[in-house]
Amino acid sequence: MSLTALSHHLVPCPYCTQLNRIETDALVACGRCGSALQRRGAPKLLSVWALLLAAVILYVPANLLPVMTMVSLGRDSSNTLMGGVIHFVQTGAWLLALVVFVASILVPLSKIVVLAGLLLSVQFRWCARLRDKTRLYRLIEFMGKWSMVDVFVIALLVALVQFGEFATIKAGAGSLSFAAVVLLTLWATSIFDTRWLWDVCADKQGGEHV
Amino acid sequence: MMKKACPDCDLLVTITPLKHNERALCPRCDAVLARGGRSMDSIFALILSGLLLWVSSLALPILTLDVNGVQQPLSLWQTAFAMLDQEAWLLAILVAMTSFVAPFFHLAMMLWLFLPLRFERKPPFVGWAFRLLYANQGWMMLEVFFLSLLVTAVKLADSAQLLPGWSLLAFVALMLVMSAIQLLFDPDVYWRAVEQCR
Repeated sequence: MSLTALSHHLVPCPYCTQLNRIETDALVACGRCGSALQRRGAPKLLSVWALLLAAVILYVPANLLPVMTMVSLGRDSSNTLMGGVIHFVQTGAWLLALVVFVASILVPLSKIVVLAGLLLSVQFRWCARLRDKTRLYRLIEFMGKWSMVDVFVIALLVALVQFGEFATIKAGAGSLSFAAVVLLTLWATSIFDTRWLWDVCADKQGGEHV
Repeated sequence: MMKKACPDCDLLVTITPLKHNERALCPRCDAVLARGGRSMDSIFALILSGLLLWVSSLALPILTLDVNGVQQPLSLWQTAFAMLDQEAWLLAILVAMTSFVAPFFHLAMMLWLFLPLRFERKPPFVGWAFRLLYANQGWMMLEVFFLSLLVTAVKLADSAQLLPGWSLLAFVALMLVMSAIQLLFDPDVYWRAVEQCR
């Protein structure tokens, strides 16, 4: 016997959490807050795959193209994402190197890998360790926005250096690609629904996935 | 006693009334389903202080740029507008949205939702205001912006110094108040209060 809200024809409102009894596939207004509700159908895997694929493609220029170019006293230097980390390591700013490495390399990459793994898990009905997979999703959902650190740093540098007049900094194509990667993975993560993981395993024997 | 569906795994759970500092976790996937002791009064106080802090975070320089002794104070909105001058309008919008537009919108929506409740009235367009609040939530990245300020200060250390301004204090306080508001806001508790106003 299944114990989910779906099996009882109940749909929780994503906004106010109120349980609504819905027996058809039609759009229904939540009885408490009026939000549009629909019974959860088949997983929308294709939309998430599409966004993830776009993020993977843009991940290449984000890492290869310079995120910014600084012209200072006639010297001009371009910085890629990894170049920024290496610069911090060379100047001995270890803590900062770690922060930037985690925020702009480790987080986006692990987000893409984890999300792909979760999608495969739904697609092929891998029903082992569902609790851990749900936890993993909550982790990438929490850390997603921290990847924006590097985008903000470039924005701040561009803005500040204009006032300082000691150099000029231009945002490179890499930073735009990187911002797009971050926003695309945030979008893909928000569409993914962890209940899909549990849904596709509902008809398998209970117990094994708890 | 109330019934809730876990937002992460859809398990139907019956929750007994919670005491202060108690949390109800989903037995199947560990999602937090409800927290005890959510007071509407403390949220209202936080919204008001948040609005005051928001004004303060914009009113004074958030940092001062020091290049060989020449000092240039900069406010939060100037940093966003400077990007417009550089024709980096996409970056300008992103920074403006995440660092001061979205937080203000969040506070304004919260005030809209909570002020009428003080007078036991149902807020007008309550459903719409509620959904707008949620749509805006993903754009608030005060803490990420703050970390970026720190990284920028170190990055510039070779050629210039970044000194903290008075508004930075307000900004950090606003950051803390905003996360307190988000932690204390329970949509279920809120809507039960709205229903009592009818």
